[in-house]
Amino acid sequence: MRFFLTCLAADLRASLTEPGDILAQLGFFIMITALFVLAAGPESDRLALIGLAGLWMAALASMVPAFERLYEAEARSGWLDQLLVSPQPVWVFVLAKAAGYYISHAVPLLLASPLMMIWLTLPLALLPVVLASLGLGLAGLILLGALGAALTLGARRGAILAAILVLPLSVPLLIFGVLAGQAALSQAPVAPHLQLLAAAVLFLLVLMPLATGFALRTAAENG
Amino acid sequence: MDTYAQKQLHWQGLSLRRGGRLLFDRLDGQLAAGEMVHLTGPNGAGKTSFLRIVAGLAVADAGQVRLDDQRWPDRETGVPLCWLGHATGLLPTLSGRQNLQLAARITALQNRAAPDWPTQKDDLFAITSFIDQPVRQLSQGQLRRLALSRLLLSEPRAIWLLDEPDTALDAASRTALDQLLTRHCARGGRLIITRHAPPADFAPNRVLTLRGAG
Amino acid sequence: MFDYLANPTRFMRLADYTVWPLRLIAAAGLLIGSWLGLASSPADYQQGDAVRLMYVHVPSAWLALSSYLMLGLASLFFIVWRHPLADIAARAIAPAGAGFAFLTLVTGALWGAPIWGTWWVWDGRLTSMLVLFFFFIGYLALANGFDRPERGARPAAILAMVGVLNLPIVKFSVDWWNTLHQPASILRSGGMAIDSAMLWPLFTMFAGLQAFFLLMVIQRMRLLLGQARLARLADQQEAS
Repeated sequence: MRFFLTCLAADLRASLTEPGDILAQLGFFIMITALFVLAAGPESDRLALIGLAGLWMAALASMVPAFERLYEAEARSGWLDQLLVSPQPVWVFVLAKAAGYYISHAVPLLLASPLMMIWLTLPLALLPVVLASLGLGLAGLILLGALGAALTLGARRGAILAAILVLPLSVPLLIFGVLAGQAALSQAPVAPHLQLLAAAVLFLLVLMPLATGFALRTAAENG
Repeated sequence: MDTYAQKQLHWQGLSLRRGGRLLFDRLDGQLAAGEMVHLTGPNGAGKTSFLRIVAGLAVADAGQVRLDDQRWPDRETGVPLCWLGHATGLLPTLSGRQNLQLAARITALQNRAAPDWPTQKDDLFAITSFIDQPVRQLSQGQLRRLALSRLLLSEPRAIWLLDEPDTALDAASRTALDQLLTRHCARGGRLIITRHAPPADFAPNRVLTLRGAG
Repeated sequence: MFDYLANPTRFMRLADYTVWPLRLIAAAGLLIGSWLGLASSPADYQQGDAVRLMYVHVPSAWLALSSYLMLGLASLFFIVWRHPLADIAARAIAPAGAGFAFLTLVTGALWGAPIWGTWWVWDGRLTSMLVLFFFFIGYLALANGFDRPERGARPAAILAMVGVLNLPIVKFSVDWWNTLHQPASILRSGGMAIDSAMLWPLFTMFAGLQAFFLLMVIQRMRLLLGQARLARLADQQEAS
């Protein structure tokens, strides 16, 4: 637990020294949403129907390309080797990186979502459901990204490759998340979708750190 | 606690092939307590790969490394290992002090790096002057000295694996390093080291040569 | 048994014996199945001749799914036991599996086209197969995504294992999506009453395609092993 907090603190400290990255990602998210509205046309009845899909796609598009560099600092500086040689379990480090990434990159997106919802003519009454579904979905996505980043350490075209690996695996998150929002829109029960989403995220929470630890060891083996 | 001190780290039948070339084949050897081994060989002979295998970071194509009969690496037994590769192992966004504190935490030597470390007498590599600057602002030599200071956190009888630790070091630090190495082995520690230009008075117990692929 | 087979020379020798039988079964199955499917079996009363695509579509779907599971299994053997042939097997299975997934998608679209009036419909099964195809693409991209070819073997193996574990969840989520969005779903190949006259062509095509798949995998494994052997001999030549 202490090791988790240590790594989390180090990661957050590192993110704070590069606030530009976070702002750029947030800007990307906002721009994609705006362009989506431009592409779809602002007629509010039609926009509301597909607005949720647009919001989720904007979130995915802004998160996925940056995964490749998740471990860049640790790998390039050789710190990863130090971790692998130490008695500390690697999965705790992975969990700390995912948590750190969530706090520094997902939370700003969630904070911007009310404005995005207004742009997409989604009723603000949906905000709790959107925050819950997007919040959970992004958590799952980051866990997948942690694995994707580890698998593609040292690969050519790492960013695209990580995206190709993560996106198919994130289909359940997207489906359950968007359906939750759409259920809220049409006054249908939201709970089943959120429960399935939570279950999926829980599954990833257990599997991804372990698989990622393994992948990081593999990456170090082959250098 | 010190049960590992009497154990022998040995390897048998180690073979490694990289990029189609056979780097080394059926290598046998051991590293006992108190031994200082100099690993030599031409460039590209696989010295770094060999060290990584002994450290447990890489796996050979054939053969194995063992600590007495136990498989290696075995993180449960907590046999202390200090690895110093070409890379410094220092996170660029943290300061030197934060990095060393993190290093101490990682090796679970939680009582080791007191907040006001290093004091004058532990500062073998003269890092106090820049220890609080962010690491990415430091020069190669300063980075190397910080990395070497990690050795001062090590358990007294640990296994040290050092890959070209002299790189970018000034004369004073080189002397300090040699003193440290001698002291370490005298206290029962052991180490394998690769270095391009060892000082005249470098006196390892053994020399292990990798001939490389023809 | 697996240790016995781990020796590449032994494997190649055994594999040599299987090639001709597989060729015969594949040829027989495909030829007879095609004749039965195209000529001698009846057209469906509501779907017309398009139903004949089922004879390729259904076995392909089965092969695509089972080959992904085989890929996962081979990956497990490679990671856990470092079985050298497991990596070769995985590298042979992946393209074949991807090919059959693609074939499933194409035959599915062609089958549905006259019924739906359009070239594609997000039928639950087709959608799942599409995502499975993406899984294959991801695997192939990762396995071949490194400058040193052997570097990609272990990450790809980890990906395959994670993929196998995630596959039921993905399938479930697509079905869930399907029930709520209710797109057109005509391909009830399990649900429609299968005339006994349709069973024979289906069965023979199944056997033929399965044999063809195994043949492709074994031939590719022999090729990969041969290449590795050649590389090793070249090294020895150079060294001496």
